[in-house]
Amino acid sequence: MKTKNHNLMLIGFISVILGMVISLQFRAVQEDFLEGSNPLIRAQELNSAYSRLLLQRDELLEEITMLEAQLKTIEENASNESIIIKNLNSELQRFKLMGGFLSVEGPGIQMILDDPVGEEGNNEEINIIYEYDLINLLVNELNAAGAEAVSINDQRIIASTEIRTAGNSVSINQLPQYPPFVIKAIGNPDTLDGAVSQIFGIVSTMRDQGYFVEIKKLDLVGISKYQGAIGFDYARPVE
Amino acid sequence: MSIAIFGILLGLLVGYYIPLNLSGAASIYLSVAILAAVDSLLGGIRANLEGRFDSLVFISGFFFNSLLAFLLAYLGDQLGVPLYYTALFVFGTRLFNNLGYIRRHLIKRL
Repeated sequence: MKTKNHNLMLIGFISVILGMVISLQFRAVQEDFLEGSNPLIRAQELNSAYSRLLLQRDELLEEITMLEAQLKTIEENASNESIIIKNLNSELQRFKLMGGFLSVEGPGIQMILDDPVGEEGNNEEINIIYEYDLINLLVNELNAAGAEAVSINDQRIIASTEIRTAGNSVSINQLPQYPPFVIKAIGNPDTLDGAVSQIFGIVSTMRDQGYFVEIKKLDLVGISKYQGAIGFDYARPVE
Repeated sequence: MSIAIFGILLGLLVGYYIPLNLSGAASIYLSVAILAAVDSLLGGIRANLEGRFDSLVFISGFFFNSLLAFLLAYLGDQLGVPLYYTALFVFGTRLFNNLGYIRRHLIKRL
């Protein structure tokens, strides 16, 4: 009889452990993974949220185009009115050009960066998305070689532009970008090309690591303007 | 049987209130391990009813089966083959078998 009780105690003890693990698992799944709903419903929720955001994005882009057209007509009307405003406007255009708020074109180079092609492309360790530091260096090098405008996947590089890995994409101007990365730069094509493709330079480093890098010198490169808006919440001009 | 139910309920309560969080990756594999553990527990209850309970077999089966199920699920993920199906199938079948024996035994005793 003593062993019988002993056995029951053991079963009871193991039951407690099992109950604890089930409860922990339940909490982990409900709280972290599903946020309170069941898997199918959760997937649908995420799906609809995604399409809603896509729709919102399109609407906002449309709004930007509309507002920009409005702004342009207002500026044109204003500059017709007086010579002072006309001068101010040309000044404004100059600063916009400096800041990257105007689309520009001119001679330059176009580079394409991508994951390794062929068999090496299956190697998940080699992923261009994690090489944001190399992309940063590349942009740095282009700027040093006198690039007057640089863009990656049509995201204009301006003073506040960040280039960093975020999840499975590279965030540029707070927008997720995916490979292949098309880098365009306007400037002297030979100087720009020489700056990046010199021996032991960045391009050769990247190629050594297996990445696909293509450089083309072009007579006409079109670089679009910065699409976002910049607000200053903290910085004030000093009197 | 009643001590097992009581134990599980107590465990559920304790698990619900202790401030311990499982990481997301482990929790996927743990669900299969839980199945193995439930099977072992039912096996233990069955053996107890049949009077051939061995505490060493019970304890080792409980931990070893859970660990094996956990590792199978993990390995399957690493290899890209859903190996946890094997654990689901084997332990699921055994679970119902054990449950059937327990049911019959309890009915006989009535």
